[in-house]
Amino acid sequence: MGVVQEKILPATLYKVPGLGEISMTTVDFFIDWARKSSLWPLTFGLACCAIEMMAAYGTRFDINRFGVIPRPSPRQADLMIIAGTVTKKMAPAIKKLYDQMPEPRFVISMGACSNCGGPYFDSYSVVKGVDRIIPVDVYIPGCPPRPEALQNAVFALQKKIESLYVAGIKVKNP
Amino acid sequence: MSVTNVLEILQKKVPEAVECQNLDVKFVRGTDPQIKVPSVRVGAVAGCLKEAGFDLLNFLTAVDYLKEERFELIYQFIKTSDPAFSVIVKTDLPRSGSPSLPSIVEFYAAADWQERETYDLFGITFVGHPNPRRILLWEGYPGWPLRKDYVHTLDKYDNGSEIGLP
Amino acid sequence: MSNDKNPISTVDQIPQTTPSFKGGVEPVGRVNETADSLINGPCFETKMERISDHEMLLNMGPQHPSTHGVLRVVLQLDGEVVTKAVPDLGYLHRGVEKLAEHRNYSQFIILTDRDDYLCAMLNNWAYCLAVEKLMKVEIPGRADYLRVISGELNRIASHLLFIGTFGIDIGAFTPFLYAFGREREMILDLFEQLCGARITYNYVRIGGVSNDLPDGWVEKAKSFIVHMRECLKEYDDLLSYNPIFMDRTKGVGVLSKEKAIAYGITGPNLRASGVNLDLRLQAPYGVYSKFSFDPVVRTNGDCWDRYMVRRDEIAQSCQILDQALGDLPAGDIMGKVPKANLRPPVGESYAQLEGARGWLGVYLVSDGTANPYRLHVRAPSFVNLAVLQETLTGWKVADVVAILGSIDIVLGEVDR
Repeated sequence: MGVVQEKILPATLYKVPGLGEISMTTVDFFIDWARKSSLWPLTFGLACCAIEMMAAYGTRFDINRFGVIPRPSPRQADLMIIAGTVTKKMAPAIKKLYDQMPEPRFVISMGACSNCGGPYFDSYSVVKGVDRIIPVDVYIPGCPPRPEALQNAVFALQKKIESLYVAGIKVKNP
Repeated sequence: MSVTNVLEILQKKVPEAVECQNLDVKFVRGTDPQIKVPSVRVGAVAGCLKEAGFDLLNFLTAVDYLKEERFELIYQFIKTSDPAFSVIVKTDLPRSGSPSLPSIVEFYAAADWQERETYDLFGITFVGHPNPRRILLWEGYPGWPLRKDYVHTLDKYDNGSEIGLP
Repeated sequence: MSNDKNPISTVDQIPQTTPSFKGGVEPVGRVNETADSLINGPCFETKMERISDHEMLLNMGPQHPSTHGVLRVVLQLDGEVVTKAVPDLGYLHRGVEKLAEHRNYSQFIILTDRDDYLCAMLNNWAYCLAVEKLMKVEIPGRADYLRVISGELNRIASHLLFIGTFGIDIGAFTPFLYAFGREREMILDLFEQLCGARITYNYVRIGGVSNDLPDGWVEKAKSFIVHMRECLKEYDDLLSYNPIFMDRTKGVGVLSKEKAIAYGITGPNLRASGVNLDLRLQAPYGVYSKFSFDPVVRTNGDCWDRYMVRRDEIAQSCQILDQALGDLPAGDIMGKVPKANLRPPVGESYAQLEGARGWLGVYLVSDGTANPYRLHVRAPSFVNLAVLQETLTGWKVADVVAILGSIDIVLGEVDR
């Protein structure tokens, strides 16, 4: 007609007498909302950052309230938090676990060691950053980063997911 | 138990044992008795110390003295009845060829993994070890990293940044 | 593909998803097909294979849901009973001993933090003891007391994490929320006020410590100790005397005194097997000779005893902390050490202390330059883990997790 809808609106709530409430929204918003609100990470702690990750799952910093539930199997996870140093012996295992995760899958690189090698950057057996092996979505600096920083990274990833899905367009690697 | 006691006990079985304190005065050492033995007699030394009551092998490691062309292996034995007193046994190995010496696993099971680690990082072979494999790095890793003349072979994970590699 | 040795067809070649590398050396292992090579050689494939008509190989790790880190154990099983266990280490090998030769003496302290990241203060302290022994530095009294206070608090934090994760290994999820989520966070708050970090502190420096206590810290620490003693009763109600927990851990994984000493085991594992060996009592370092505390020894050497020794050591640390916080002297926190260009004399030294997992020692060789010539960390977890090969045989798969958890290892220390 002449009206061009530039903004994708969030859900609109209609109260229908006799039926209850109906929510109308776009498929894009709905699928993105479902994906970002239930990110289930693979429990994959390598070194010291794993302890801060455990603290984030614990009672004080509780990221369960954001929908994050740790899953032990990669088949049931859609997020992989690489927490700790990636060594050359471990790298094929990381690659295989990443391959076993079903899509859409995301990776958060937590800590200096998995960002770029960290304090071990000149070691003979350390991979200088996990992004040499798998694609990373969010990097968290710190050694180790506080659990609040991991929360912030989950929010940043959620923001990234908000504009991910576009209905009608087949995306190769979401 | 003092230095002279331990030395006497050792010299009965291994007459070549000498005290390290007299060897190099400029080198600062601790107060524990340090005894140097030839590398082929390490097994006899371990058996002798075990009979004398030193039942705990605390650590086992090697140092690479590149300028003096030798490896020095260090063993520390402690008595559980008196942990303040320990004996350090040192032995020299020539750097060239494939350095090897007898394993002491039959006397001290703690030597099992520590000898494997020394083999892994220095390339020193322990003759008679039941499981002579690398423990920290993988089979087929090129070279012995903790040697002073180790040159790192680039692999696919190093591609692009050789900054700071040994 | 089937062959004579393996009548059951196994998983095919995993398709290579990484780009092929031209030149240099391929760092990854081969795909192994026979049971011999699976158990005697490196294998990064997660496979389950039949090796005879009643035995099977099960690969645990390097990623598994327990929180011990990247340890891989290949188990040869007869039904559910373990007949042979081969641990495979090195998945966190970062080459710390080689890196020491490229760092200053002061720069290396942060790398010691990350070895045993659950009790980093004790790691720092062991390294600083070795350097100070070589340089013959005099430590002021207040610094020594602060080292003891932070070391013992860190030991409590490490044991609390052990209680939490050991409970999870057995299947009890609640003690983790109390031990790790409540008490340990209080200790980490104290440390954050002290030196700014939660896990890797870089607090104990060569010659003393880096920061002095802020105002009111001593009172907060004292109130924490009072709270901790009450919580120990809570943990006893929740976990220690829980009948299911005791069924799972009593009599499991018994380690005899002779075997423990032969394998070089030290720390709480040895004390649970009946040997009264504690460096703080028998070979005191720092100011430990000024404190009086009871030794913690148990006789059976099973998983329950190893758990109870650590639980009792929390009470023992509270005893030490009471005395240390009460007698804290005033004074400097740093001795006479050059701030920059630290060069110890040519020589060697070995210093060890009673870490949370065993005897943590540092062997240091200096050649007079600003970097160490050789540095070896005597890691208690590495030495303690060797006993796993013998202790696991004869137990069921569920007990493997209990025994591995009760040895209390930290992979950062095992692999360095």
